[in-house]
Amino acid sequence: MQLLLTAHNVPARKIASELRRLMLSLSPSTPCLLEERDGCVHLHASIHSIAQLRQTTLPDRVYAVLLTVPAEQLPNTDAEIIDEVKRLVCDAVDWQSVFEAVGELSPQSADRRPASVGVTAKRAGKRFSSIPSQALAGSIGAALSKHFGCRVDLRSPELDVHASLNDDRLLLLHPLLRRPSTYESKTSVGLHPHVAWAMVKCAAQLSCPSLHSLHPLLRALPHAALPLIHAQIPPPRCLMSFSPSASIVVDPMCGSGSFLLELVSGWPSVLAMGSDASASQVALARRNRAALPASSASRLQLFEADSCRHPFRRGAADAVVTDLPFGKQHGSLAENASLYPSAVSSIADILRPGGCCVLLTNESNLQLLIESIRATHKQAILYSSAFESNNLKSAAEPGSSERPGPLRLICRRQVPLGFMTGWIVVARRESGDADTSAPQLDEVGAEFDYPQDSVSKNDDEGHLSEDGAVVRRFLWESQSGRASWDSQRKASRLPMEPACLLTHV
Amino acid sequence: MKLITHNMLMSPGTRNGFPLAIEVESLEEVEADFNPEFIARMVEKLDYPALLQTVASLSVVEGTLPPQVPEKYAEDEEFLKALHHVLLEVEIVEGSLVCPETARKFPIKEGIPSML
Repeated sequence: MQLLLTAHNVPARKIASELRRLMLSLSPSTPCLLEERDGCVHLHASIHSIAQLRQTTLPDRVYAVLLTVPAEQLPNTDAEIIDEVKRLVCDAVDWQSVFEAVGELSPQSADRRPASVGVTAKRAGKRFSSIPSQALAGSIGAALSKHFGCRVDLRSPELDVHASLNDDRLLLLHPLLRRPSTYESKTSVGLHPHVAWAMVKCAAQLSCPSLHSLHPLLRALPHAALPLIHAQIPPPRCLMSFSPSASIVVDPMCGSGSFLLELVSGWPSVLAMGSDASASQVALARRNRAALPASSASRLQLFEADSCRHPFRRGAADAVVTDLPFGKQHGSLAENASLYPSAVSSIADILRPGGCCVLLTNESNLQLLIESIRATHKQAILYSSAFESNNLKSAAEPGSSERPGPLRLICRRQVPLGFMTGWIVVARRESGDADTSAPQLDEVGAEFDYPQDSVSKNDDEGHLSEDGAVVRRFLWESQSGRASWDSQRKASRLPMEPACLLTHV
Repeated sequence: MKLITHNMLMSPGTRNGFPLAIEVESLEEVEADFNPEFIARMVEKLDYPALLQTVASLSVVEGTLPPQVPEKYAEDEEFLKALHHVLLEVEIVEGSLVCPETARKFPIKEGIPSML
């Protein structure tokens, strides 16, 4: 049977290489017959192997190709074309195989015939411009309804035919598998979902035990070998979601909620709390939340708040992930000069000791962000010396244990955002005590732009230099870096489900 | 606003502005999928005495929570289900949050608290 596979924002060659790997593992001796055309992948597969396609991670939809007719084989006049198409859909389509494939995917549909039919048609190009799409859909629908003796239902038909007619060919498809809740199509967010996912992944990764802290063999390896090792061994699936300490993640400038959507969709035990000072942005995030399945939506909580005087309970957040205003669409560079330091110091307040923040800014605001993070350290020193010289008085106060935690830069990674250069900056909140659970540079970045020595670690305490390190890749990234973020993100989605059920006996 | 959100919020710029008192104008009980692993992880993050105090103040919510978190809470399904109900299935739709330190009021509209 001929199949057609499509995906949102994924090049056909990536879908093709995933399919080749899958087909090779299923039957190593049979050659895999596939072709990339018009951004889609055409695959020849036996009906029994279609269910295996649910294991793929990239495709969003799998269709059965009912009919392909090259344009030059179609007759000349409109009326003749319509008659020919009506004849072909009844006589030339192997409907028996289509019903077998549907039955293979959902056993309750086996040996059934459709109770209703619906057709959508799209006509494009010059040659057939005198045939309206609706007329094409209408005639195919009428022919099929007569052929199968079933009713026409455009809303939720059991037999769902997609027709497309253009200068090259006539193509008829029937959906077999679809990805559940592809909320991307129902939400509107400002940031690319894969960039938001990558930042959330950093936060989740930092808050879970690193590979080498779990595995004594890895710990024994020389430091310089670690980036290489990590690149070759993809982290086991359990580790990606295993994060005993990252339970609550806060976005204090959530906007439309890009990070929150990724958090609750990809990490099933995380509570995502988002706030924004603008009521309209919170309303937008709320609309986006409505597109999520109920099990994810209940873990996404929203409130209105000022990011500089944040109402989150101090030290209660395991991680903070946020996108700071670039001073273009929101705010200005002048406003940022006062906003960044207060927002960053507020982030330091709400993070628990050892907790991490993953922040996004652009090139023009990078220095300001680095200085704002450094400033939290200076504030803490001032605070702590004031505390020590005055300790009798302070110690008696009930809140005196809440010393503001200084933020320490761990690393930063450049990320192109359209025409802009963005920077993902990772910092952690330090605790007063020697904190072995707090993440270190080796757990975050790989392929340093600077030689190891210039990272200037202080060996006694494991502290980093104040500027953090510039890294080319994060530790969880594969060799191809950002190019594979989208496919890595999609690997954690739910498997595809049958796109149609037949109920009529 | 769900009570899990309430348990994480304090009056901004204050030292002792936690927990905020709740003045309810309209409250709904909604249904949410029970995810025991998630609820068990929230236990460590909650300020449990503050939650009990809040639940006691909302006469409409049944007080099925024990006075202390059970020792083996992760395996205690009855406890996790009661906690799940209190944290995720009670929605304050309209009302206000009141700061215990300054008595300042923060409105809740259509389920969204405004802490500005």
